[in-house]
Amino acid sequence: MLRPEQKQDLPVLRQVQGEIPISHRYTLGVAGERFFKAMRDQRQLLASPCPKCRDLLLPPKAYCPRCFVATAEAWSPLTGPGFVRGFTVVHRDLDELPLAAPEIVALIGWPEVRGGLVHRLQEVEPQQVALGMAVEPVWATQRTGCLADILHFRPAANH
Amino acid sequence: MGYKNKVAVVGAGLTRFVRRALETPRELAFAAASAALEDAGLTIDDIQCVVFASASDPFDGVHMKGEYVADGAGGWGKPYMRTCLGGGSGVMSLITAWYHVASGRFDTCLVVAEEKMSPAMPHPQGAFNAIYDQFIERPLGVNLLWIFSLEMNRYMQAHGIPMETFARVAQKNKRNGMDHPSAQASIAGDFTLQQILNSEVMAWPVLRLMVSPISDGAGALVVTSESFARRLSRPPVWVEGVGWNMDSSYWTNRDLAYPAYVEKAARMAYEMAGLTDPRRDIHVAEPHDPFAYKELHHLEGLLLADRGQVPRLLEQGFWDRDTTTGIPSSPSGGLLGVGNPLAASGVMKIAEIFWQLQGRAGARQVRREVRRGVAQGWGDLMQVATVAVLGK
Amino acid sequence: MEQKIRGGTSLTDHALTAGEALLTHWQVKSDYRWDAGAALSRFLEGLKHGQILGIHCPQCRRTLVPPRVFCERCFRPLEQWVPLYDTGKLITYSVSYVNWDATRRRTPEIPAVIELDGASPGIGILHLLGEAGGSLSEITARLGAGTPVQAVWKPAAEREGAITDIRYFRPVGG
Repeated sequence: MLRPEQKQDLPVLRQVQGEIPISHRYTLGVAGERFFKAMRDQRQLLASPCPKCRDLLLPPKAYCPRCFVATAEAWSPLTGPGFVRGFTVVHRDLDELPLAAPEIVALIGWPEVRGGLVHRLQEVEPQQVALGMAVEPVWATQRTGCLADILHFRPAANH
Repeated sequence: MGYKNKVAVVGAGLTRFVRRALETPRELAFAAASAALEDAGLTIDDIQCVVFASASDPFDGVHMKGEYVADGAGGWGKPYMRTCLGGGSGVMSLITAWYHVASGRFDTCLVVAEEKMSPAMPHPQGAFNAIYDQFIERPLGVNLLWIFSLEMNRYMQAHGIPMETFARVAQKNKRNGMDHPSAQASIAGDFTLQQILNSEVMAWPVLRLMVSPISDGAGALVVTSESFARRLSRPPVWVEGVGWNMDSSYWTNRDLAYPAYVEKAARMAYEMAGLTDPRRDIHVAEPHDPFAYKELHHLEGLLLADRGQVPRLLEQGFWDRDTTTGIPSSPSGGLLGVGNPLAASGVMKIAEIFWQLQGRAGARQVRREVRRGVAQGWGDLMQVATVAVLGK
Repeated sequence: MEQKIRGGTSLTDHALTAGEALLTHWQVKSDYRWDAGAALSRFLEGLKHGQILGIHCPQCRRTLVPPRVFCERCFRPLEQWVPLYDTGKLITYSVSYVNWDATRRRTPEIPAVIELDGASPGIGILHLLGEAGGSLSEITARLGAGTPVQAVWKPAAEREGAITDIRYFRPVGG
C-alpha cells in the first residue's frame, strides 16, 4: 500500500510482543483408552479389526477410515515381532544442536496390520539397521498408559 | 438463477454436546457423520465429496485441524475441504456443500462440523483473546466477553431494552433445550426470570445464565442433488436460499446496535428463495444465540421483526415454540439450551430446521404448520453472518 | 424416524483427576513479535508524544481511528493524518468481573468504546474507564451512552509508544 516515495516518510516502525497463553490437555479417546490401557496393564499391543475390509488397524481406531464403519468389538493382540518399514537417523535436536549420540527413529509394522507405530530403535548401531529387520518392544516397569510405556524397540531375539 | 442442481438435505446426525468429551475430535466427527449417513439410509460409498467445518484450531490444540479430522469426517480418498468462519462455520458448511452440489459437479456431499473446546487450558479464552488487535487492544488486558457485553449494552441503550427481556430469551431457550437429546448437562432447565437475573455478573450487562457454555460436540448433514434425493424414501428438505456477509474487522467503528451484515446475508438468501415477506414466508427460525441478546439482535437482522420491536414480540409469546400465530425461534433450545461447540452448533441449528420441516422434532415439534425455516450462524470478530433458508 | 444422536461421552471431574481417563498434555510455544506496520507504528509513536492520530478518507469523508493505510469502505489508500482530541464521549461500556482465564475479579474493569472528538460519528476506539465508581450500581448510575470522557495520560517520561500510554479515560462534567 505504501508507494516508494512515501518510504522516506516512514515512522519509527514498532513491534509488539505477546503470546497466546494456552496449553492443552487431550483425552486419548474411545480407541486410545483401550489401546494404551492394554499397554499399561497387559503389556500388550492391540489392533482393531474392520468388519468390512477385515484389515487390522494400528494404532487401533474406533472406526475404519476407509470403510467408515465402526471397528469390531473384539480387538486382536499383536503377536510376534514387528518389522522395520522405514527409519531415519537423527543427529540434531529440535534447536538444531548436535545430539550426544545419533538416535534411530523407525516406523514399525506387523505383517497382518494396516498402519504401524513410530518409535525409537535402540540396542543396535545405525549402520546395522535395515528395512525388514525384526524388532520387539522393551517395556517400562512403571507404566502410565502412554507411548513411553514402551521405552524403545530393539532387534528381536531369535531373528 | 442458473444453478445446475436444486439441492436437498436428506439426513442429519449429532453427538450429545458435553463439557468434556472422552472422544477425540476424529471420534466425535465419526459419531455424528455415521449417524447422519444412517439417517439418510446411505453409506460412505454414496458420498462424492466432504465438507468439514471447525471454527478454530487452538481449542482442539491441533494445527491444520481440517486435515487431522479428515478421516473421521469421511474424507479419506475423497474431494475434501474445510470451511472456516468462526461461529459462522456450521451454517457456512451447508452453504459450501450447497455450491458443491448446485454447481452440478457433485450429486452428494457429506457435511461434518466438529469442535472440541475442552483441551484448551486454563481456559479457551486464552485463544479467543487473540481475535483482538494485538497492538492497541490486547495490551489493555482484554477478555472475550467484553466485545459482547459492549455490544449488548449498546443495543440495550439504543432501544431502552430492560434486562428482563434478555432473561426471557434465556428462559425460553433453556426450557426448549430440556427436550433436546443432545443438550449439555445442567445447561437446559426451567429457570425463573429471577434466577437468571440473579445469576453472577460476568461482564455487565452479560450475566452467567445469558451466556452459552463451552462445549465439545459434532454434527453432520447429508446433502444431495434433487435427482439423487428423489430416489430416497423420505421426502427431502430443500436448500431454497443461502446468503453470507462480512462486516469490517474494525469492530469499534461499527454500529453495534444493529447487525447490518446479518440483514445483507438474509436479503441474499431470501432473494434466492424468492421470499418477498419473510415474516409471512418464514415459519420457524434458528438464529445464532451464543448470548441472549444475540437472538434478538439476529431476529431483527433476519428481518423477522422491526428494529427494537423484538422485545415486545417476545413478551407476547411470538417466538415461543407453541405459538400458533408467531414464528417459533430456537425451538431446539439453541446454544443457550443445548450447548455451543462452535461450528457444530450451527449444524445443530440446521438439523433442527430439517427435523421441524420433516415433522420429526418429537417433543420439540412446533405447533404451527411449517413449510419453511431459516437457520443463521454468526461469528469471527462479531462480523460474519451465514444464513440458510430450508423448505419442504 | 427418531433424531439420530450418537456419541459425545461426558467425562466427569473425577474421571480426570483420579486417573480413570488417560490424558496427555502439550505446551505449545506461542510467543510472537508482531510488526505494527506503517499506520499503527505512527499511531503508537503519536501516543508517546501525547497525541492521538486519526486518518481521513477524502472519498467517504470519514475520519478514522484506529488509523489504517486503506479505507475498507472505499478501498483506496489513505495518507491524510489528522490529530484528534483526547476527549470524547462513550458509545458503550461494560463492567467486567472476569479475567481472561475465567477467574473472578474483586474490583471490576470498565472497558468502553469511545468516540474521540475529531473522529467521525460512530468511529470509536476500545479503552478502559477509571474514576467512574467502585460498585456496579455506582458505575451504571454514572455512565451512559454520550457520557463525556477525557484521557488520563501517563507522565511523558513513562510513555513508551503503547496504547497503555493512556492509563484510562475518566468521565468529566455531567
